[in-house]
Amino acid sequence: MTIDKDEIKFIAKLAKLKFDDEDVQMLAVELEKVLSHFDNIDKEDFLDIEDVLDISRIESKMRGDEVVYYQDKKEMFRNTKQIKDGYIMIPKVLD
Amino acid sequence: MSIVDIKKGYAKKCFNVKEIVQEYLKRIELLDGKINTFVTICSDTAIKEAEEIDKRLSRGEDIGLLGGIPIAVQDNICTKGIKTTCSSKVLEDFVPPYDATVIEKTKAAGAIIIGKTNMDEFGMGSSTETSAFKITKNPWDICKVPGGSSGGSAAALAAGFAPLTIGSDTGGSIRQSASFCGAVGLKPTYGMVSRYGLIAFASSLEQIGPITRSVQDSAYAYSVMQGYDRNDSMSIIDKKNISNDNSFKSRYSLYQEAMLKGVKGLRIGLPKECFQVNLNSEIRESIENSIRILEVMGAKVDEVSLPILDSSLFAYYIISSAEASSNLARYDGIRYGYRTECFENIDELIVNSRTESFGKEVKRRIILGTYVISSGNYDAYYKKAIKLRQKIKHVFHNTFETYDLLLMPTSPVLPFGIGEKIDDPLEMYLSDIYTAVVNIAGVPAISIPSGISKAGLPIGLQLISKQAMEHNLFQSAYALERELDFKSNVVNLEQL
Repeated sequence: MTIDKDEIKFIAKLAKLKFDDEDVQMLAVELEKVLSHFDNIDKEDFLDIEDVLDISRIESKMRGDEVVYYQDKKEMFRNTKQIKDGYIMIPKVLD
Repeated sequence: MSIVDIKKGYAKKCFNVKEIVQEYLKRIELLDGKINTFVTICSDTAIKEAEEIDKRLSRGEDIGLLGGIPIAVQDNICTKGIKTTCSSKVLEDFVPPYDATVIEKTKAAGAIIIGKTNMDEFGMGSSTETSAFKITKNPWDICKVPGGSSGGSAAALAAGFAPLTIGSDTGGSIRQSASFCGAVGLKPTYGMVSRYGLIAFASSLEQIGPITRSVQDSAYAYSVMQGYDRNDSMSIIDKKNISNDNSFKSRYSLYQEAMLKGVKGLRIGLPKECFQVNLNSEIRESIENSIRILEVMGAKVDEVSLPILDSSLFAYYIISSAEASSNLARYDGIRYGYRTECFENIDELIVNSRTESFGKEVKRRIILGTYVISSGNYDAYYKKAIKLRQKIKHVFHNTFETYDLLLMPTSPVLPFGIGEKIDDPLEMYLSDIYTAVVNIAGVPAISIPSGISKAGLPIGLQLISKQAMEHNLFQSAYALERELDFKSNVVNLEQL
């Protein structure tokens, strides 16, 4: 299977990343190498898989749907770069 | 010194907490420049906390299960007020507003955080070379990698910078690093240790675990760290093996009883796929020696065939990359983390922030992950990987009907040279061939030192058990450790 450069560029756009042409080329080659290595996966038979594995000895615990407030708002936003009057500043999103 | 030895020393008043902490800090100051294990060292706070604990000790108060024990924490685990970077430019100046649950527990038990350790960026790597800040070196040979992604924690333990270090394991990070550094590394059953506060890489695979000098220390630290947490939706309770109070006492006594039992009658399977012709001969010899010891002690050891192991790495890289691409979507430069200075609009803010700050390997995995879940590729890759995961869980479940444990090398290779594999991603990914399947299956595993190569490099042996059967791991690992008498002495860095 081959992965072409346009596909990488499209995937990069989805992932909100930007690459130059050289990097796109390298990524295409690397991804192809990694995914081709696993081509033999098709020999596995998946038809006999049950939907749920019985792990009844291990129990998930449910919790109530309760709201818990984080009190220290100033602490919560200490890592935000630009903040004004309690709002995060970003460039205009809508015209 | 081990955790147990330090605790005894405090009780007998052989030394006080401040003396111990100062000794460790002195050693770090003198020697860490040679191996680069720490991103942040917390000297001032550690000394202050030590002084407080000494006051409580002098009043005869209980100082806690890990009272006065210095710990180093991997830098992807949130520590309130202490920079937590994931060894990434993205979070270079990120200071968490909260403690991870495992940190809350260890602090409540009296542990003192001595520093945050280096790692592969966001946990993506097997050598601690993808860190944005520094490359950690293996204390046993500074031209070699310490393994990854918990290389900083494993190397710090081996170098004698702390008696307990904490790492995270998504595809083998704790175990492979422990193996490369001659330490004991435990990956718990998925769900046994809360992931709340562990900065996410692959949410369905990762677990926090201890790296220690001995199996006893591992069991002790694990007993403190584990337990149900409402903040982790996948947190589990094991009602079968641990009594209802689920206290430290009930957990640790289960492990202590197991460690005293020996291995007579334990059924151990050796997957033949892990012992193929091309396995490094020194690793083979060391593991075979350990197998002989187990047989002499009364364990029943058989070869078993698990051909699905060959495909497990596919499941791991597809699922972990897909989850990583989703988890790392939060880094957009808006609420926290690196923000670019070059943007004219919101899209540029996000794209440029991410592009400028993520490292090469992280970007590679995000692209791989986005690719395998994108329209047209989802069925061929991600859906197949999910089905394969179910199949692997079934195979393990069935295998553990016959066997108590599986045994194999932790790594197919000895610690490799710095720079040797970093430019060949596939070659690097293949390092995880014996470890990643454990995360896919959600079962626990431990790596213990099995021997030393002719070049003086540690060799690790991995034991795997059924879900929530960590006591089987401690039982066998403890017995083997005593017979091997592995001199995992603090590596003599002064001579480097």
